[in-house]
Amino acid sequence: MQTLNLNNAEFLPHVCEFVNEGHKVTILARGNSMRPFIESDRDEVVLTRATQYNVGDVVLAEIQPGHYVLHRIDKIQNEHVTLRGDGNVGNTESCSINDLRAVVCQIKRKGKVWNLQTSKVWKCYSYIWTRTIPLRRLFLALYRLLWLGQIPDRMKRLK
Amino acid sequence: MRIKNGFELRTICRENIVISHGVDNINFTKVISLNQSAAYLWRKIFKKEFTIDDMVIALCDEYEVDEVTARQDCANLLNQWIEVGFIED
Repeated sequence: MQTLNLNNAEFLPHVCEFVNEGHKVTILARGNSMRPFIESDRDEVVLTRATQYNVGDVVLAEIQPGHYVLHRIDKIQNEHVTLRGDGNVGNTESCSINDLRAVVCQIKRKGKVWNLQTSKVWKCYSYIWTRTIPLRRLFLALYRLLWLGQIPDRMKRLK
Repeated sequence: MRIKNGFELRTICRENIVISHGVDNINFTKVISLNQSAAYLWRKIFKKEFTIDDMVIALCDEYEVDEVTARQDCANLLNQWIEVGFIED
Protein backbone atom coordinates (compact mmCIF):
# COMPACT_ATOMS: atom_id res chain seq x y z
CA MET A 1 0.00 0.00 0.00
CA GLN A 2 1.28 3.47 -0.78
CA THR A 3 0.09 7.01 -0.24
CA LEU A 4 -0.76 9.10 -3.27
CA ASN A 5 -0.01 12.77 -2.88
CA LEU A 6 -2.38 14.54 -5.22
CA ASN A 7 -2.02 18.19 -6.08
CA ASN A 8 -4.96 20.13 -4.59
CA ALA A 9 -5.44 22.37 -7.62
CA GLU A 10 -5.87 19.29 -9.82
CA PHE A 11 -7.54 16.96 -7.33
CA LEU A 12 -10.15 19.20 -5.70
CA PRO A 13 -11.99 20.09 -8.95
CA HIS A 14 -12.74 16.34 -9.27
CA VAL A 15 -14.00 16.33 -5.68
CA CYS A 16 -16.24 19.31 -6.47
CA GLU A 17 -17.54 17.52 -9.56
CA PHE A 18 -18.53 14.46 -7.50
CA VAL A 19 -20.17 16.68 -4.88
CA ASN A 20 -22.12 18.43 -7.63
CA GLU A 21 -23.29 15.05 -8.91
CA GLY A 22 -24.84 14.50 -5.48
CA HIS A 23 -22.19 12.28 -3.88
CA LYS A 24 -20.77 12.67 -0.43
CA VAL A 25 -16.99 12.75 -0.74
CA THR A 26 -14.51 11.88 2.00
CA ILE A 27 -11.06 13.44 1.87
CA LEU A 28 -8.14 13.62 4.27
CA ALA A 29 -7.69 17.02 5.92
CA ARG A 30 -4.41 18.73 5.05
CA GLY A 31 -2.87 21.75 6.78
CA ASN A 32 -3.13 23.21 10.26
CA SER A 33 -5.59 26.02 9.66
CA MET A 34 -8.56 24.18 11.21
CA ARG A 35 -6.84 23.29 14.45
CA PRO A 36 -7.58 22.38 17.15
CA PHE A 37 -10.56 20.26 16.04
CA ILE A 38 -9.35 19.11 12.61
CA GLU A 39 -5.78 17.85 12.57
CA SER A 40 -3.79 17.54 9.35
CA ASP A 41 -3.17 14.06 7.87
CA ARG A 42 -5.15 12.44 10.70
CA ASP A 43 -8.76 13.54 10.39
CA GLU A 44 -11.13 13.01 7.47
CA VAL A 45 -13.90 15.34 6.36
CA VAL A 46 -17.02 14.39 4.44
CA LEU A 47 -18.14 16.98 1.91
CA THR A 48 -21.62 17.34 0.52
CA ARG A 49 -23.62 19.72 -1.65
CA ALA A 50 -25.37 22.54 0.18
CA THR A 51 -28.55 24.31 -0.79
CA GLN A 52 -27.82 27.09 1.64
CA TYR A 53 -24.74 28.26 3.53
CA ASN A 54 -24.77 29.67 7.05
CA VAL A 55 -22.31 31.44 9.31
CA GLY A 56 -20.40 28.77 11.25
CA ASP A 57 -20.48 26.19 8.43
CA VAL A 58 -17.13 24.64 7.50
CA VAL A 59 -16.91 24.85 3.73
CA LEU A 60 -14.64 24.07 0.81
CA ALA A 61 -14.20 27.32 -1.08
CA GLU A 62 -12.29 28.19 -4.25
CA ILE A 63 -11.06 31.61 -3.17
CA GLN A 64 -9.02 32.09 -6.35
CA PRO A 65 -9.02 29.96 -9.48
CA GLY A 66 -7.40 26.67 -8.44
CA HIS A 67 -6.80 27.80 -4.83
CA TYR A 68 -9.02 26.02 -2.33
CA VAL A 69 -9.42 26.37 1.42
CA LEU A 70 -11.43 24.37 3.93
CA HIS A 71 -12.44 27.02 6.45
CA ARG A 72 -15.36 28.20 8.54
CA ILE A 73 -17.75 30.90 7.34
CA ASP A 74 -17.15 33.93 9.53
CA LYS A 75 -19.57 36.39 7.89
CA ILE A 76 -22.03 36.52 5.01
CA GLN A 77 -22.98 39.94 3.70
CA ASN A 78 -25.21 39.68 0.64
CA GLU A 79 -23.08 37.66 -1.82
CA HIS A 80 -19.83 38.40 -0.02
CA VAL A 81 -18.42 35.71 2.29
CA THR A 82 -15.61 36.02 4.82
CA LEU A 83 -13.87 32.80 5.84
CA ARG A 84 -11.56 32.09 8.73
CA GLY A 85 -9.80 28.89 9.69
CA ASP A 86 -10.30 27.81 13.30
CA GLY A 87 -6.53 27.73 13.66
CA ASN A 88 -6.10 31.25 12.27
CA VAL A 89 -6.22 34.41 14.33
CA GLY A 90 -5.97 37.43 12.04
CA ASN A 91 -6.02 35.78 8.62
CA THR A 92 -9.34 35.76 6.82
CA GLU A 93 -10.25 35.07 3.20
CA SER A 94 -12.94 36.68 1.11
CA CYS A 95 -14.91 35.21 -1.72
CA SER A 96 -18.31 35.23 -3.34
CA ILE A 97 -21.02 32.85 -2.16
CA ASN A 98 -20.75 31.32 -5.66
CA ASP A 99 -17.17 30.28 -4.84
CA LEU A 100 -18.36 27.95 -2.07
CA ARG A 101 -18.09 24.44 -3.48
CA ALA A 102 -19.19 22.13 -0.65
CA VAL A 103 -20.03 22.02 3.02
CA VAL A 104 -18.51 19.64 5.57
CA CYS A 105 -21.26 17.43 6.99
CA GLN A 106 -19.12 14.99 8.97
CA ILE A 107 -15.69 14.87 10.50
CA LYS A 108 -13.97 11.57 11.23
CA ARG A 109 -11.69 12.54 14.09
CA LYS A 110 -9.44 9.99 15.79
CA GLY A 111 -11.72 7.26 14.42
CA LYS A 112 -14.90 8.83 15.81
CA VAL A 113 -17.55 10.26 13.49
CA TRP A 114 -18.95 13.70 14.28
CA ASN A 115 -22.11 14.66 12.44
CA LEU A 116 -21.92 18.43 12.28
CA GLN A 117 -25.65 18.94 11.81
CA THR A 118 -26.63 17.07 14.96
CA SER A 119 -23.60 16.85 17.25
CA LYS A 120 -24.13 18.95 20.37
CA VAL A 121 -20.43 18.73 21.17
CA TRP A 122 -19.56 20.20 17.77
CA LYS A 123 -22.14 22.97 18.15
CA CYS A 124 -20.90 23.77 21.64
CA TYR A 125 -17.27 23.75 20.47
CA SER A 126 -18.16 25.96 17.49
CA TYR A 127 -20.07 28.42 19.68
CA ILE A 128 -17.20 28.80 22.12
CA TRP A 129 -14.28 28.65 19.69
CA THR A 130 -15.67 31.26 17.31
CA ARG A 131 -15.86 33.68 20.25
CA THR A 132 -12.28 33.19 21.38
CA ILE A 133 -10.64 35.38 18.74
CA PRO A 134 -8.95 37.80 21.20
CA LEU A 135 -7.45 34.88 23.13
CA ARG A 136 -7.20 32.39 20.29
CA ARG A 137 -3.45 32.87 19.76
CA LEU A 138 -2.89 31.92 23.41
CA PHE A 139 -5.20 28.87 23.23
CA LEU A 140 -3.53 27.67 20.04
CA ALA A 141 -0.08 28.08 21.59
CA LEU A 142 -1.20 26.06 24.63
CA TYR A 143 -2.73 23.42 22.34
CA ARG A 144 0.54 23.08 20.40
CA LEU A 145 2.59 22.97 23.58
CA LEU A 146 0.45 20.73 25.79
CA TRP A 147 -1.35 18.45 23.31
CA LEU A 148 1.16 18.23 20.50
CA GLY A 149 4.34 18.77 22.50
CA GLN A 150 5.60 21.35 20.02
CA ILE A 151 7.94 23.75 21.77
CA PRO A 152 8.07 27.19 20.13
CA ASP A 153 11.49 28.21 18.70
CA ARG A 154 11.66 31.20 21.04
CA MET A 155 11.35 28.93 24.10
CA LYS A 156 13.92 26.50 22.68
CA ARG A 157 16.40 29.37 22.45
CA LEU A 158 15.80 30.18 26.14
CA LYS A 159 16.77 26.66 27.19
CA MET B 1 -16.65 -13.12 -13.89
CA ARG B 2 -16.99 -9.35 -14.16
CA ILE B 3 -16.10 -6.10 -12.42
CA LYS B 4 -18.72 -5.34 -9.78
CA ASN B 5 -21.10 -2.47 -10.29
CA GLY B 6 -20.12 0.59 -8.29
CA PHE B 7 -16.45 0.64 -9.24
CA GLU B 8 -15.19 3.10 -11.78
CA LEU B 9 -11.74 3.94 -13.15
CA ARG B 10 -10.97 7.64 -13.41
CA THR B 11 -7.82 9.51 -14.32
CA ILE B 12 -7.19 12.06 -11.60
CA CYS B 13 -3.93 14.02 -11.45
CA ARG B 14 -2.44 11.66 -14.05
CA GLU B 15 -3.13 8.67 -11.77
CA ASN B 16 -5.50 5.85 -12.75
CA ILE B 17 -7.68 5.62 -9.68
CA VAL B 18 -10.46 3.14 -8.98
CA ILE B 19 -13.19 4.85 -7.02
CA SER B 20 -16.09 3.22 -5.29
CA HIS B 21 -19.51 4.78 -5.57
CA GLY B 22 -20.67 3.12 -2.30
CA VAL B 23 -24.26 4.07 -1.60
CA ASP B 24 -23.59 7.73 -2.23
CA ASN B 25 -20.20 8.13 -0.64
CA ILE B 26 -16.87 8.33 -2.45
CA ASN B 27 -13.96 7.84 -0.12
CA PHE B 28 -10.72 9.38 -1.40
CA THR B 29 -8.80 8.37 1.71
CA LYS B 30 -8.82 4.76 0.53
CA VAL B 31 -8.35 4.52 -3.21
CA ILE B 32 -6.47 2.07 -5.37
CA SER B 33 -4.38 3.32 -8.23
CA LEU B 34 -3.54 1.17 -11.23
CA ASN B 35 -0.44 1.28 -13.42
CA GLN B 36 -0.82 1.79 -17.17
CA SER B 37 -1.12 -1.89 -18.12
CA ALA B 38 -3.57 -2.69 -15.31
CA ALA B 39 -5.67 0.34 -16.30
CA TYR B 40 -5.61 -0.84 -19.91
CA LEU B 41 -6.88 -4.28 -18.87
CA TRP B 42 -9.56 -2.71 -16.66
CA ARG B 43 -10.89 -0.71 -19.60
CA LYS B 44 -10.85 -3.80 -21.82
CA ILE B 45 -12.97 -5.90 -19.47
CA PHE B 46 -15.12 -3.20 -17.86
CA LYS B 47 -18.85 -3.97 -18.00
CA LYS B 48 -18.16 -7.32 -19.72
CA GLU B 49 -18.12 -10.98 -18.70
CA PHE B 50 -14.50 -12.06 -18.97
CA THR B 51 -12.08 -14.89 -18.26
CA ILE B 52 -8.35 -14.80 -17.56
CA ASP B 53 -7.84 -15.87 -21.20
CA ASP B 54 -9.51 -12.61 -22.35
CA MET B 55 -7.07 -10.66 -20.17
CA VAL B 56 -4.06 -12.57 -21.49
CA ILE B 57 -5.12 -12.01 -25.13
CA ALA B 58 -5.70 -8.30 -24.50
CA LEU B 59 -2.32 -7.93 -22.78
CA CYS B 60 -0.43 -9.78 -25.54
CA ASP B 61 -2.22 -7.68 -28.19
CA GLU B 62 -1.10 -4.42 -26.62
CA TYR B 63 2.28 -5.19 -25.08
CA GLU B 64 5.33 -7.11 -26.27
CA VAL B 65 5.10 -9.94 -23.78
CA ASP B 66 5.07 -13.72 -24.11
CA GLU B 67 1.95 -15.63 -23.20
CA VAL B 68 3.42 -17.38 -20.14
CA THR B 69 4.54 -14.10 -18.56
CA ALA B 70 1.28 -12.40 -19.52
CA ARG B 71 -0.74 -15.20 -17.91
CA GLN B 72 1.30 -14.99 -14.74
CA ASP B 73 0.91 -11.19 -14.57
CA CYS B 74 -2.83 -11.39 -15.27
CA ALA B 75 -3.29 -14.07 -12.61
CA ASN B 76 -1.47 -11.91 -10.04
CA LEU B 77 -3.50 -8.86 -10.98
CA LEU B 78 -6.77 -10.77 -10.91
CA ASN B 79 -5.97 -12.18 -7.48
CA GLN B 80 -5.34 -8.68 -6.17
CA TRP B 81 -8.62 -7.43 -7.66
CA ILE B 82 -10.50 -10.39 -6.15
CA GLU B 83 -8.85 -9.73 -2.79
CA VAL B 84 -9.93 -6.08 -2.69
CA GLY B 85 -13.43 -7.00 -3.84
CA PHE B 86 -13.55 -5.58 -7.37
CA ILE B 87 -14.63 -8.86 -9.00
CA GLU B 88 -17.80 -10.95 -8.85
CA ASP B 89 -18.61 -14.30 -10.47
